[in-house]
Formats: sequence, C-alpha cells, structure tokens
Amino acid sequence: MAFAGNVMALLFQLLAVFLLLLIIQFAVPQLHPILYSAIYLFVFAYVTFTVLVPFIKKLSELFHGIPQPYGRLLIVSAFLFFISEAITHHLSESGYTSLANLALLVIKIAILTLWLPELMNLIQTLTTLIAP
Amino acid sequence: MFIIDFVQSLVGGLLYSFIIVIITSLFATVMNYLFPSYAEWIKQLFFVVIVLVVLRPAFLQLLLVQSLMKSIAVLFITSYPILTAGMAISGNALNLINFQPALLLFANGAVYFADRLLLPLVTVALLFDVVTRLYPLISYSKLSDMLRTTLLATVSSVVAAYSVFITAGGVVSWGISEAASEPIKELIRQNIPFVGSLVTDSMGSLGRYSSGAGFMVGGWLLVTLWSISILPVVQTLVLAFLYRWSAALIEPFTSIEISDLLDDIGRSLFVLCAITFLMIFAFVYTVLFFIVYIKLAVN
Repeated sequence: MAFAGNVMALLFQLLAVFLLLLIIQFAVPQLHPILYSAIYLFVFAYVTFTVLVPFIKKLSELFHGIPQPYGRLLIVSAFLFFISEAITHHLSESGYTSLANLALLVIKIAILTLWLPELMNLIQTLTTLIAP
Repeated sequence: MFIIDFVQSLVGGLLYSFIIVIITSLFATVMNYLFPSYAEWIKQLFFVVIVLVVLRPAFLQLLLVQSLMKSIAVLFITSYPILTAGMAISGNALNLINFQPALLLFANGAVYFADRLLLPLVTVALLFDVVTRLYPLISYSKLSDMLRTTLLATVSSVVAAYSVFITAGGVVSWGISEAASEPIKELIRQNIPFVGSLVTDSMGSLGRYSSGAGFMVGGWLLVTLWSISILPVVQTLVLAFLYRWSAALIEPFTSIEISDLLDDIGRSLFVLCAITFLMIFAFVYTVLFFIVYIKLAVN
C-alpha cells in the first residue's frame, strides 16, 4: 500500500514539474531548453531510484527460480536498455539525433559485453557436438 | 532401487528445466510489458537461455552416445581379428549354435556405418533445428525432417537385414509363442512413435537369436547382459519422451517456436535411440560370441 501511495505521489510530482516547465516556457523562453534538460535528468534519476530499481529488485527476487546468471542478466540488460532509451529519446527530442545514435550504440555494446560469456558458451556447446 | 533412482534423477533434472522454461517465459512476458521496445532482444536472449539450460540434457545424451559409439567401434576393430582367428581354429563353435560368421562382419559394418554416417547426420538434424529457430528467416525445418525420416528408414532396413541373416541361419523360435507376443508387439508399435515398429521388428529377431544362444550361455546371464546394454537406449527413449511431453505441456504458456523446438529435439532423440539400438545389437552379439568362444576354448 505504501508503495502504491508512493507511486501516486510521484505522478502528482510529475504533474507539478510539467506545470513548472509551462511557467518557465512562458516566463523565460530562452532558458527553457536547458532548464527542461536539467529538470528532466533530475526527475529521471528520481523516478529510477524510487520506483524502477526497487521494483526490478522485487521482480528478480520473485523470479529467483531462473538459473543464476541468466535472470539477472536479462533484467540488467533490459534496465540498461531502458536508461539508454530514455536518454536517447531526450537527446533526439532536442534535435541532437546523431548524439542519440551514439549513445544507443554505446549501450548496445555494453549489453552485448554482458552477454558475451553466455554467447561464447552457446557457440562452444554447439561446436562440441560437431567436433571430431 | 537403482533403476528408480536413475529414472528419478533423469526425470527430476528434466522437470526442473521445464519449470524453468515456464518461469522464464512468464518473466519474458513481464519484461515485454515493462519495456516494449526491448521485446525483440528479450526474445533472442530468452532463446539463448533455453538452448543453454533446457537443451543441455539432449546435447549431453548425444555426446554420450557419440563416445560410446567411438569406443565400441574401437573395441570391434581390435577384437575381431582375435575372434575370427579363434573361429578358424575351433570351427565347432559354428556348428553348435548356428552363429553366422557373416553376422560379425555385418555387426562391425553397422557400427562403423552408424559412427561415421548416421550419428553425424542426427547431430546435423539437431543443429538444423536449433539454427532454424535461432534465425527463422532461413529455415531448415524440412531438411531436418527429411534427415530424420531417411535415418529411420536406414536403421530399420539394417535391422530388417539382421533378421533376414538370423532367420537364414535357421535358429529356432522365440521364447514366448508367436500368438502371445503378437498383441504386445502391436501395443508397443502403436504407443511408441517411430521407434515402436523398429523395436518390435527387432525384438523378434533378437528373440530368435537369443534363444539359440540361451542354452549355451545361460538365461540369467543373457537377461543381465541385455538389461545392462539396453540402458543407453532406455535412457535416450525416456529423454525423448520427456522432451515431447514438455513441448506439449508448455505450448499454451510460451511462444510456438520454443515448443516446436522441444518437439523437434524429441523427434531427433527418437532417431538417436534407434541408432543406439543398432549399436547395442551389434555389441550384444559380439559379447555373446566371445562367451561361447571362451567356453568352448575352456572345454
């Protein structure tokens, strides 16, 4: 119940941020992009640490039956992808699509690096079958 | 007790991996709901997990049969010169129980054939199944299906040739009378897909053969020999059944590809079971020949 209340409060806070941004856009239009970015990053970190991380922890506890490296890897890679998507979305929204592409590429490489041992394992398993 | 433990360990491990399939697919569904843009990746990674965790018993079984086949082929190559020399010296072994010397050649040929051609083809069929599901745009499903059918046809024709050989030797009847065993055979044939008819066909020839050797070797020894050497076949058969069962069980819960993959792996394991049976047949024949030969030499 406390968790649900937390989430509802967060929703309200997001609305407040939205109103604040509207006021800024009206009052100081030149400062709007930078203030928007700053507030976005702040709110993003806040949402991630108050809602997403605890929820993901709970989820991985719930699915502890999945053999050890894989469940954690799946969750972590999805989480990383979510972060990169949020950032790239924000970047391309402000018109920096090339930067957004770079960020996406970096995160993709990070995820693949996490999975590399398992992929090696897969290749090894399949090659031992056909080894003479 | 040993058999029960053995089956329990086999079934327990497999059941565990199927529960994992169900849990993991549920988890993937939750992930898809949370991060919809990541769905494609989740699917691929999920597949990697399935191949690594759930298909491991099948791969291990295949490796086990491969190593068994290799060692038996080596055993045959090293022991057949001695056996044939012994046969040449004490010719009365042949008169006693109608051993066909050509059958030795046949057994060796079958094992060589299985080691060099049949087993690699099963492996290829299994790999084709995995690759097809891993990258569905290039599908090898018809090819692997064709490979399995061809292999089964080959193995059953080899077993049919065995029975022709043994019948030509003129060794007498099978312990249970024909009338009593017919319904049992029909039951097995209908209930075990693919391998059932093969097993019943070869059961007749084995019976004919073993009853000839029985009075020489002793019934209990024969039973022991058969039950020990049939163990890999039973193991493969149980594994194949479990894969097909679990494919049927998880079909409502996961994507169709995973269940299809498990089903195909089960089919490939049935073929593997048939090939293992071929090997066991040759092995038991050779061991019996050894026993008879040594007994005659001692006498």
